[in-house]
Amino acid sequence: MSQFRGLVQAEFGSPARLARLDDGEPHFGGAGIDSTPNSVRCTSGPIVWRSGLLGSVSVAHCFSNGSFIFSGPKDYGVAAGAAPYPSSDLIRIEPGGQQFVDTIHTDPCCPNARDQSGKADPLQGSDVCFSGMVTKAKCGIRVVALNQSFCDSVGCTTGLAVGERVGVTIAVQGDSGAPVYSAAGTAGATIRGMVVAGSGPSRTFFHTVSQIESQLGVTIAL
Amino acid sequence: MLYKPYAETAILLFAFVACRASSTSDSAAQRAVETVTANTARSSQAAPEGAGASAAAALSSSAGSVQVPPTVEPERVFSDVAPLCGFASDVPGAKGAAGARPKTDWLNTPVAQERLHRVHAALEGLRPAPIGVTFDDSRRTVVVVLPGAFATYVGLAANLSRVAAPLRVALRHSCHSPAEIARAQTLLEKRNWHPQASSTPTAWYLDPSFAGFRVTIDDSAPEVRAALEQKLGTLVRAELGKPRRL
Repeated sequence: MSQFRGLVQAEFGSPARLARLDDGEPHFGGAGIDSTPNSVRCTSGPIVWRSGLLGSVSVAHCFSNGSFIFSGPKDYGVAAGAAPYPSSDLIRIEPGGQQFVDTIHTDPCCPNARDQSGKADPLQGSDVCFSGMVTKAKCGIRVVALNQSFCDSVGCTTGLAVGERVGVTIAVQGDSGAPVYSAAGTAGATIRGMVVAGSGPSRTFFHTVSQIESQLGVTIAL
Repeated sequence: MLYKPYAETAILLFAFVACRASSTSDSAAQRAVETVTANTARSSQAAPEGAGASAAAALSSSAGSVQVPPTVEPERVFSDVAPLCGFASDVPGAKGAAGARPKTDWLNTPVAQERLHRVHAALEGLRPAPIGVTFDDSRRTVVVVLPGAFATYVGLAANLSRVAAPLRVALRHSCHSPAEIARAQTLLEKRNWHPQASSTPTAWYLDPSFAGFRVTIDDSAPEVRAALEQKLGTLVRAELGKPRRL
């Protein structure tokens, strides 16, 4: 470095692909997304196949059919095909010319992203991870119940699984849509579902992977 | 026909005797458990490092507070004759006598997760259907909650012994019947227990540990919570919070 004295200013830091909030092509799941540019409101779910194209999914309470979706300043896709809301809280993100790859963000650490390598519904007592754009990857979350409900003034969303990790914030506002997964090896992820709601920072309700596939007519990309 | 109180007494007595019989004289199941444990121990000696630690080792790595005499193999499947139906001690995350939360990582090992899958598979198709599975972190035990007398589930203890080791499994009577649970679920789904119930954010799930519903109701509506508790009594444990779509 000394030979470039005066030409280079070097410093130590933690360089990383900080792309959750401005997820460029090829797009990953777990990105911060919104229907207006340069903003993030919710999280994209796992990457899915539909009609021979890769896209993603998210929650219907964040987007309407036909909405353009952005990740920060970058195009991400187009919302479409929402399942009947509020009994389900699911919507597709069609590519709209964008390129996707079957990988989800899992920063802050180790690794920063995981390839989608499997899919399975969770079992009571199984251990899962969430990866939302705000809280980022959190693991050690126990599935305490299946087939449960979340209700608000809009109505009830049913068939949800419940994940809990006492004393730890596992999902907050903006994490809706976050992929739910379990680590598979050092770089893989078995997709289990997608975050929808919470009844506190430590208890979260999520759609299972079979609900995502059956109600949106998509297939988890592996 | 037996007069109803006498009939209930007879059923309870039969269930108790059956429980004792299944927990004390199921020597075949116990032998099976011991065989599995012995084989596991042998294979762990031969297994290379990183090739999947033995089941026993995987669990014992997270063992801490539960001390078992080294020469006595604990029963892997046993009966919880007295379920915890009160309000006192089984709130998730409740602090124990020592003031510390029970550690939950005993169930997070790959071996424990795989055995848990086997336990769920063993419960499929049982009739009457189990209320569910819950977890006793202080005893590091998987608890299967059953609505019928244990004797109804012929061979279940032996089957669980075979598939679950080294996980410990307890069979527990349900605090409430399936009919009572269904009644509570219907009320929750209809959201008509209070005039504001249908517009108040509410999240709920069935907790097998007391065979009732844990409900979080928006903290702006304590009267909705009170009305629910009045309607459902011991079938519900309601708390105020901030249930929200995220």
